Amino acid sequence: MRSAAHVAARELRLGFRNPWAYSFMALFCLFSLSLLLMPADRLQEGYSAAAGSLLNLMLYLLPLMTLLIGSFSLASEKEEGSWDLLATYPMGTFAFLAGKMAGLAAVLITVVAFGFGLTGVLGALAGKAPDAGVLGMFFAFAAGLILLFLAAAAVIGTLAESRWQALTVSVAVWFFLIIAWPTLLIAGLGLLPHPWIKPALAALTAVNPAELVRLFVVVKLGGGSVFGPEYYAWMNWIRGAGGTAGFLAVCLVWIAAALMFSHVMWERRRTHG
Amino acid sequence: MAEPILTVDRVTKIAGGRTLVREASFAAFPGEVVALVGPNGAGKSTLIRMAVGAMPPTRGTVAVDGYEWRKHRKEFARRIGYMPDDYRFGGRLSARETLAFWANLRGVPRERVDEALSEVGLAEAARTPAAAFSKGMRQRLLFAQAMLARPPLLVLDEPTNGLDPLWQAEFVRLVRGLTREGHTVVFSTHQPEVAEALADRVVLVNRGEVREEASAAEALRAFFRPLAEGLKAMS
Amino acid sequence: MLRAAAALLAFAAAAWPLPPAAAQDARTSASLQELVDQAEAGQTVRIPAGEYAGPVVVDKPLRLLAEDGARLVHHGPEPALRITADGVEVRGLIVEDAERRDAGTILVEADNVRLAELTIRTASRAVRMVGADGGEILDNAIEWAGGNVPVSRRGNGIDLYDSHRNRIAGNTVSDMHDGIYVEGGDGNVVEHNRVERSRYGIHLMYTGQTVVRDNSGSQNITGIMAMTSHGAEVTGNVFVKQHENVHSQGILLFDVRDSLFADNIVEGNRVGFYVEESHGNRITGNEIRQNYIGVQILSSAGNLIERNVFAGNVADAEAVDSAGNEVRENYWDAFAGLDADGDGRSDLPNPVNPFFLKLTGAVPAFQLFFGSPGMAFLEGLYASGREAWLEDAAPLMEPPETAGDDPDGRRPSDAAAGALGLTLLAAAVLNIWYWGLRRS
Repeated sequence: MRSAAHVAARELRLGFRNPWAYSFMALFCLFSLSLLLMPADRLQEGYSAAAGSLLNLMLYLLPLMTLLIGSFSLASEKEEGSWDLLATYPMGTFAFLAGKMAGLAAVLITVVAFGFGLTGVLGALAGKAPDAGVLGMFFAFAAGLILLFLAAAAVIGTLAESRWQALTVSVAVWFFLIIAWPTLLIAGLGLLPHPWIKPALAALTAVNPAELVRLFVVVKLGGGSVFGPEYYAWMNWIRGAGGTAGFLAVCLVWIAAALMFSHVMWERRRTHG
Repeated sequence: MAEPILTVDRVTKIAGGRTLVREASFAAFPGEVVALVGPNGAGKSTLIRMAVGAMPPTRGTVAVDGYEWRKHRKEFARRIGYMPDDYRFGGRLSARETLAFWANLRGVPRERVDEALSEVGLAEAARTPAAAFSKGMRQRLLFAQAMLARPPLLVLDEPTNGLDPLWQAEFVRLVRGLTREGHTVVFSTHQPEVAEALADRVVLVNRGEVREEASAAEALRAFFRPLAEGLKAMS
Repeated sequence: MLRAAAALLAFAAAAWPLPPAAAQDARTSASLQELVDQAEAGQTVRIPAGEYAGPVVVDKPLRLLAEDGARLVHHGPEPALRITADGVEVRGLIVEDAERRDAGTILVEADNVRLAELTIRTASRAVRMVGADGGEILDNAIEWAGGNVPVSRRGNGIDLYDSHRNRIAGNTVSDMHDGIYVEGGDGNVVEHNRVERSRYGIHLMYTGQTVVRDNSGSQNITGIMAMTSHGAEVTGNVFVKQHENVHSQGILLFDVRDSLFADNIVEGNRVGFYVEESHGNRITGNEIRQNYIGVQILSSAGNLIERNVFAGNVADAEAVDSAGNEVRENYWDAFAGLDADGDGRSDLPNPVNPFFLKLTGAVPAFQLFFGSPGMAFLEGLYASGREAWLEDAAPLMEPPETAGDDPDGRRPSDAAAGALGLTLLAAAVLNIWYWGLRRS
C-alpha cells in the first residue's frame, strides 16, 4: 500500500493546485456564511430553518462538486495517457484506485472543513456563532456525503471514455439523484398499486445516497416527526444507536460495492483491453 | 548467445475491428541496442506498448527476464523502464515533483531524482511546471523517468522526436553509456539515421507486421529502396 | 459461631424499626370524613398533618384548610374526594390516588366550589367537574402517578363536563392525558396554567365563549386543541416543543368558529398552527417560530389571518382548499418582498403552494420528500390553479414591534463554535499550504 500513499499524495498536490477546488470552496463559503449569519436564523440544536437550509446547500453543492472533480480526475488519467505509463509500474490497480480516492477525499473534505471552519470563526467573532455540536455534526455529514459520492464518481470515471463524458454523466447523475428525484419517483410510483408505493419508495431511497443522508440528518436533528405517521417506526429506529449503525452499514456497503465495481472494471481494462 | 532479456512472441492486437499488430515476434539480448524502424502508422507504438505492459495483447505473450507479463506483473514491471511517445503533463506539478512521484512508486531514493534531472539537463527547470515544458524538455523528462530505477531493460518510443541535434547527440551518448553498463535498450524510430548510429540490430515494422531483422545498413537499404525506386520512376 | 449469631440477632433487634406510638390526635383511618361530618355548614375545618384514608364526601358548604403534610391516600372504587354541596372550598391538601377509575380522584358535582393549592398524584382523572358552575380551580399541582403507561391510557388533569363559568388558573399538570379538558361548557376561563408532557395541553370540545389566556406548555402532543367550539378567546399562550409526535402541533383548530387567536407564541413545534374546517376566526399577532411547518390550513374560509410573525420555520405555510380567507400583513422571514411604494408592505404577494399538502393527502408515503431539494424544484414547476391558492396579499417587509428575541433567551456558546471553527480552518489551511502552495 505504499504505492497507494504515493498516489494519494500526488492527488492532494494536484487537487490543491486545481482552480476548480477553489471555485467550489469559495461558493461553499459564500453560501454557508450567508445562511448561517443571517439575522434571526441561528443554527441551534434541533431541526430548524437554518439547519434545513444548510442541509439543502450541502445537498445541492457537495454531490456536484464531488462527482465533477472525482470523475474528471479518474477519466483524465485515461485520456492523458498517464495511466498507460503507470500501468507499466510495479503497482496494483487497487492501490492506484485506493490512492486516488483517498487523495480526492482528503481534498474535498478539506474544502468543506475550510467552509465550516470559516463560518465558525466568523460567527464567533460576530456573536452569531452556530451551536458547536450541530456545526460538528454537519461537518461529519458533509464528509459522509463526500465519501458516498466519491464512490459514485469512481464508477463514472471508470466507465467514461473521456473527460467530457465523465463531466456530462456526472451532471446527469447529480440532476437525477438530487433535483429530479422526487419528480421522477412521484410520477413513476404513482403508477404502482397503492400498497406497493411505500416499500418501493423505501427501496429506492436506499439506493440514493443523497436521500439517505438527508433523512438521517433530519432524524438525528430530532425532526423525524415531520415525515408523518407512515414513517413513525422507522424514524424512531433511526434515532437510536441501531439506526446509526444501520446507516453506517448501508453507507459502507454502498462505497464498497462501488469501489469494487470500479476496481473490477479498471483491472479488466488493464489486462484485457 | 545468452538468453534474451525481452521476448515478444507472436503478439497480435485487434481493436475496433482492425488488426493493428499481427503475429509480431522479436527478441532483445542483454546489452544490445535494438531499433524498431518503420514508417508512421506501422504499429511500432502499439507493439512497444504491448512489450512494456501498457496495453494488453489480444494474443501472444511478452516476457522480460523469463517473467511473463500476465503472470508476474510486478516482477515484469520492476525490470522495465518505459518512455511513452506521447504524454500530456496535466495539473500543476513541477518537473521534480512529477519525477519524484515516479521515483517513489519505484522505491528510488530522493537523491536519484535530482541526479536524473541533471543527467538530462533539466536541473535548472526542476521547479518549473512540467506542463509548461517544450516538446524537447518533455522528452528529456520522460527519458529521465525511464532511467530512474536503472532498470535492466529500457524501452523507448520515439525518443528522439522533438529533440534538437544537440540533444540527439546527447541521447546517443547516454544510450551508449547505458549499454556499456550492461543495460539493454529497445527503441522505435522513423528516422533510420538514428537507428544506424545506435542499433546493434534493427527490426523493420510495417503495416502491423515485423518484416525482418537486419543490420542497420541493410535496414537503411531496405527502407530507402522503395523511396529510391519511386524517385527514379518520377524522373 | 454461636456468639456471632447472637451478636447478629442483637444487632438486628436493635436496628429493627419500632412500631409507631399510638396516634394522639385525630389522624389515620376514616377520620377526615368524621371531621367533615362533625363540622357545621359554613364552618372552616383545619385538617392537621397526617395521613388520611378516603373516600371523603363533602355534602355541606365547608372550608377545608389542610395543614402542611395532610395527605389523603385513597384506594377503592369511589373518588378520593367527592363534593356534592355548593360553596365548598378545599385548600392545600395532598391527594394520592393509585387507582384507575372513571369518576376521577376529586369529583365536583356542585356549584361555586373552590379547589386551591392541592397536590394531586393520581392514576385517574385528577379533578372531574360534572355540571359544576362558577367554580375556581386554582394553583393546584397535578402529576400522573399511575406508572409507565402510554399517555393515551392516562387520565385528564382537570376535566370539565357541561360545566359553565368556572375559572381554572395557575395549575400545573404533568404527564397526564389532557391537561385541562373542557367539554360542552360555556364561559369558562382557563388561564396561567402550565401543562407538560401530556397529550393535549388544553382541550376544548363543544365549548362556547371559553377564554384560554396566558397558559404555557411544552412537550405535549398538541398544545391547545380546539374542536367544534365557537367564540373562544385564545390569547397570550406560549406552547413550545410539541415536536416529537408525528401528529404534534402547537395550536390546533378543527371546526372552530368566530374565535380569536391572538398574541400566542408557538415555537419549536412540528406544526405551529393547524387550522381545518374552521371559519370566521381571527388569527392575529401570533409568533410562529422555529417550527418544522409554521401553519397548515385545510378547507377553511372566512378567517382573518394578519400580523402574525413567521420566523425560522423550515416551511412557513402549507394550505389547500383555503383560498377564501383574508390573509394580509403577516411577516414571513423566508419571503423576499418588494416594497415599491414604501408603505412597509410588499407589493408582491406571498402565495402558499398547495402542492405538497395535496400530494401527501393522496399518498401519505410521499411525506418522505418534505424539505428535499428536489421537492422545491417540483413545487416550482407546479403552478396550476394559482387563483385557488391561499396568499398573503401584502406581507410585511419588517416584523412588527411585538417580535422580540428568543423567548427563552438561550444563546449558544460562541466560544465553542469558534474553537471548533478555528481547528477546522487551521487544519484546512495547513493542508492547502503543505500540499498545494508549497512547491518543490
